[in-house]
Amino acid sequence: MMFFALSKQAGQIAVTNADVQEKFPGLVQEITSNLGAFLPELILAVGVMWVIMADLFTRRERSRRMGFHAFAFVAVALVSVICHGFSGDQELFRGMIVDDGFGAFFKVLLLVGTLICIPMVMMTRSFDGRRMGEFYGLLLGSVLGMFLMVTAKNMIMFFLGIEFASYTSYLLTGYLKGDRRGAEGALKYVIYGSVASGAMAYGLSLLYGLTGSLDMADVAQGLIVSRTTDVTVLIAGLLCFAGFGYKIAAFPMHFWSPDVYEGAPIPFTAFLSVISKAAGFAVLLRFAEGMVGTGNWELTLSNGDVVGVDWPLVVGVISALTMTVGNFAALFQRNLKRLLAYSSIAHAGYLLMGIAALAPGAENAIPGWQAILFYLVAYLFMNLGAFLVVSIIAEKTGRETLDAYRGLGSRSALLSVALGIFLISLIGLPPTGGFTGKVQLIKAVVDDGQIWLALVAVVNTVVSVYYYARIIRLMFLEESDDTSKVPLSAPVSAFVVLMIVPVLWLGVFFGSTVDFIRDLTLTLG
Amino acid sequence: MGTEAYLIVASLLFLIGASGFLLRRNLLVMFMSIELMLNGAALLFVTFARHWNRMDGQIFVFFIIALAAAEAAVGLSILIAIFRLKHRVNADELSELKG
Repeated sequence: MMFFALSKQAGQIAVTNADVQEKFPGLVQEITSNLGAFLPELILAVGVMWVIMADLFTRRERSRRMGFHAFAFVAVALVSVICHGFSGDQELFRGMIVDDGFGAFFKVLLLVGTLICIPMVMMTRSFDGRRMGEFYGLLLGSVLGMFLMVTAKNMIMFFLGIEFASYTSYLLTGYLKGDRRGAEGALKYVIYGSVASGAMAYGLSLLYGLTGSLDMADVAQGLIVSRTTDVTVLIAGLLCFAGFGYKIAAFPMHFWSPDVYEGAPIPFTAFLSVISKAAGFAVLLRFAEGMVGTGNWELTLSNGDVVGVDWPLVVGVISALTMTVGNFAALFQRNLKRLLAYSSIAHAGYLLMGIAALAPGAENAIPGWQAILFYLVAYLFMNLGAFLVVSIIAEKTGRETLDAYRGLGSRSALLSVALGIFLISLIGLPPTGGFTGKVQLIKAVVDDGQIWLALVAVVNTVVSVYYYARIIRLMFLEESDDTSKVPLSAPVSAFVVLMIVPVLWLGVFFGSTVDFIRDLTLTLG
Repeated sequence: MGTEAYLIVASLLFLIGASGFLLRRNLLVMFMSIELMLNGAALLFVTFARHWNRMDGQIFVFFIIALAAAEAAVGLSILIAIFRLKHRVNADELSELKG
């Protein structure tokens, strides 16, 4: 009897196998034909395994050389993204991810940022004597997760990408295990991050329930049909926003970021404040663009009534609160890392203005997403540049507080001028990329008719002048007891100069970048 | 039993998790509360998958379970690291970073 049952079971399995074999070749062919467009991700995946394995065969004191390996993999991935081009417009792996110009743009942004962060890690002495293979493995893994985030079309892929990028970030924050501040930052990060992802999973499940699909385009489409349940749509949207908002550090999901930024090693703080934030904006944009594309973002009747949830207003209010909270908290900071954390919250607020103005009514208006992409390029260089100077000063003096910058103008002309330029760009004054970027964002909301939001942004910019300019004044107008020169090696000086060039370039010759962004393809989510 | 009953249970699970996270200060209990929130989301996915007669919601649940396990591994390893330094597992005593 037993034997009979078993053989019957085996027979059933054989039938299923035959069934699978019938459909299998087509599926395999489909997957392999898509692998070409997936090459950058594959390179990063090999890179993750390579740096961890190669580190096992390296003596501990030579472990920091793994940085060169990681750098090489990121550079090769960058080349493969650029060779693939920005004109792709197709779905891969049965609609799991898309290959489009928007995604390629963000991949380049993430990889360039990582290429800047890796030398910063190699310059940091607190990593000396530690195994670095795991650090770079986790770093490349984080970038791989963000790649999946920025190209995700299906909500499963998108949730997995966000979580992949987050878990690696938690570990990297606490990488210096004996460091109390690092461990505390990592714990706060993992707790707030987990609760945000729990809320997001719940929000996604509500969206799935409302629309019956996990594909973002279908979700956006389905929401119109279920417009009667506005409260549920609003709750689902806000719960999802908890997930995105925590990635970009937007109010009210911002409170983790000052502690995490202060506790994490400086190069990784730089990584979090720019690269992680850019990836968060990519998913938020793709999600929102899907709703714009189907007319579910802002549906105004001819008599002026708004039907459904007024998303531009919701995002506009979050944007205004985020920049205000960030700027006012930054006024009172003594630790420069913490100050830059609050400043990066404020910048998330400025960037959210672009999302509030996603569907401009006026002719010839800059669509919000293009303004965001331009600002992210400028923000990448100015914020990483500021963190580079902070990291160099922390290495030379061992301090991160503002006192370390007193009289820096006479101690190192290059570092003080560089930091001055980055801060002027962060304020948003010409002739820097921060100015041209902010003008585009403000123009986008003005064209969209949300004048109040533009006014809040201008007032916030004026407030932010106070704390940024205080650092510039400390550097150039105050005397320090310590007047010894800060020694800089030639490669480090070149690195700093290399960061200044794009900030000024984007401020003066911004036309080519604006045109480039305008021509990007965006496969609607 | 209709879909509504499952929706109520899932919402309750999520709310118990969320309130546990907000009210309790023991870090281990906070992690457990987060797991409850994720379970609420998972139950909702299964319910809706059944409701719409689709498979992708069920697949999402597998990933949620796997991710919850990974999250517990990462979270507990960080928790152990901090316990070694401070010998405390209370959220209110994590106060070195402030401002």
